[in-house]
Amino acid sequence: MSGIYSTIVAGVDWFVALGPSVMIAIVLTVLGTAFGAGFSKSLRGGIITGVGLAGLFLVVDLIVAALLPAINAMAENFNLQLRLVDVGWADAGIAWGWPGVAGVMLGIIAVNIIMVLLKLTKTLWTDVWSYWHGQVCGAFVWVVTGSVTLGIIAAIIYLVIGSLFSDITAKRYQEYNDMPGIGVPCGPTVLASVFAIPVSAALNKIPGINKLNASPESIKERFGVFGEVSVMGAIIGLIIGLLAGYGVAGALVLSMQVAAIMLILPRMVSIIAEGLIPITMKVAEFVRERFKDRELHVGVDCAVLLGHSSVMASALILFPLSILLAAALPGNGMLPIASLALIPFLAGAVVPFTRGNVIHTVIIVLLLLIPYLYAATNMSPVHTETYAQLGMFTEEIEGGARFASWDMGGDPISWIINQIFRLFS
Amino acid sequence: MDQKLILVVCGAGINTSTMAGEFISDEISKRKLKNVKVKTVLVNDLPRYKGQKDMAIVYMTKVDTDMGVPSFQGMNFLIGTRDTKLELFDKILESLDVEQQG
Repeated sequence: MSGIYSTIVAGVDWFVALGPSVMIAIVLTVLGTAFGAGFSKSLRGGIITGVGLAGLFLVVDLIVAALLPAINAMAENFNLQLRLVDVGWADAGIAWGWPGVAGVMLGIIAVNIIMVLLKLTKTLWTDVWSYWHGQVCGAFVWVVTGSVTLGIIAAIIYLVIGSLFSDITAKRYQEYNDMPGIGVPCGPTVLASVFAIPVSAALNKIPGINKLNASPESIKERFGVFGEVSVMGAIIGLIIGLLAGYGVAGALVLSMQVAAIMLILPRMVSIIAEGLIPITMKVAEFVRERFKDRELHVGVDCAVLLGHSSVMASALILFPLSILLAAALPGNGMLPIASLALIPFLAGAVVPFTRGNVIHTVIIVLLLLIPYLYAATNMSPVHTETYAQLGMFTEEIEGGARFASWDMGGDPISWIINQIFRLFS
Repeated sequence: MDQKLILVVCGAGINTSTMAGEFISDEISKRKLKNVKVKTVLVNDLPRYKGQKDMAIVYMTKVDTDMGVPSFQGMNFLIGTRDTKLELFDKILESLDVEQQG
């Protein structure tokens, strides 16, 4: 028995040592073919996702090289504690590169089908891309417990919570965004919505605040250009460069580097997602055919909530406010830069519950970002160690870089699950 | 033959529109429809296409702009069964007056 076990362990080690790009290409080719997406389509998908990961790592190299010295200098100059490097959605690299990735994909599909059959949930977990939040939660648990199995269980728990929260929120999403039949089980989205339900009700009861609103159209018209991530990145880079004492020339260089980070990082994420399409199509069709006659919410990705004009208007106000919040919050170590890309998604999750009220949406998201910032700071050692264990950014980590992010480093549900699983280590 | 355009509109351009776009372009090449093109765009880029003719729009997120061309809610490309996906695709072709052989 122990011989077999050690062979498996050695096999897993060999597999992980290939690095995330190679590993996910193999996993997706095998799973895609098994799900009936065809070998050539699956192979193409696997390679594209591997390429997306490789690209993602290039961007993180740029983030660390450009921003680490700058935020350290700024922190020195102003005696700030904001020294963690915000890697934003680079965590997708953890998600699709940790050893439990295939186990989580198969596990959540099986658990979801059982839960739907037993009528424990109405949500079909068909959006394979959004498994990534659960995957990162699982990888963090793997790092603190040393067990891939516990990591997979934690990931599945995270994703099950997503489907249960989606049951609560789906009707409003459908009605407000005019999309019958959908649900959005994506973790950060449903958490923001579930958080918004009571807070929005409370805001509506506070005299003065309940009447506040702002016209999304006029905000978009006046400040729309700042909603372009590259423009926003350029401004943030310029300000950080000046505060770091780089002088105008140095600040301009940093400005363009941050603009590049903000524009390119989501593009890389989109390449990763593209490679998952063959599998997603098959999973969605497979479960859809089986539950044709039941009224269920089919899980789609959170981007469907972004179209309403109040979303971008709220985000425009939230970008500068959330940076100020991070600077003002005692004990917080993370200055959000790359993570700001999450803000439209949080606003998109809140807007259906404030019925498009921009001011209320801004208040709710700001309140929600407080636990995000503290969790991101608290998880930073585990977060950094996870990259180290996956063999990513080892030189940067040896050089003193410590990582953080909102999505998923600061995810509050993931943080709670991590605290519970630590008891088993 | 006039060139026809199917515009798939998405909130983030990461996942949703790509999936719908992939299904549509697969069907276009399966049916050998030479004069139909599919393109995925972000909701913020939509005004750029205003006034264009021979175009149908597939919405993957809520959109406030009225584009004055046939528009379809495309969520079925994600959540539908194979039959409902094909049904929606046929409706889009019909609105563009695309001739199909056979």
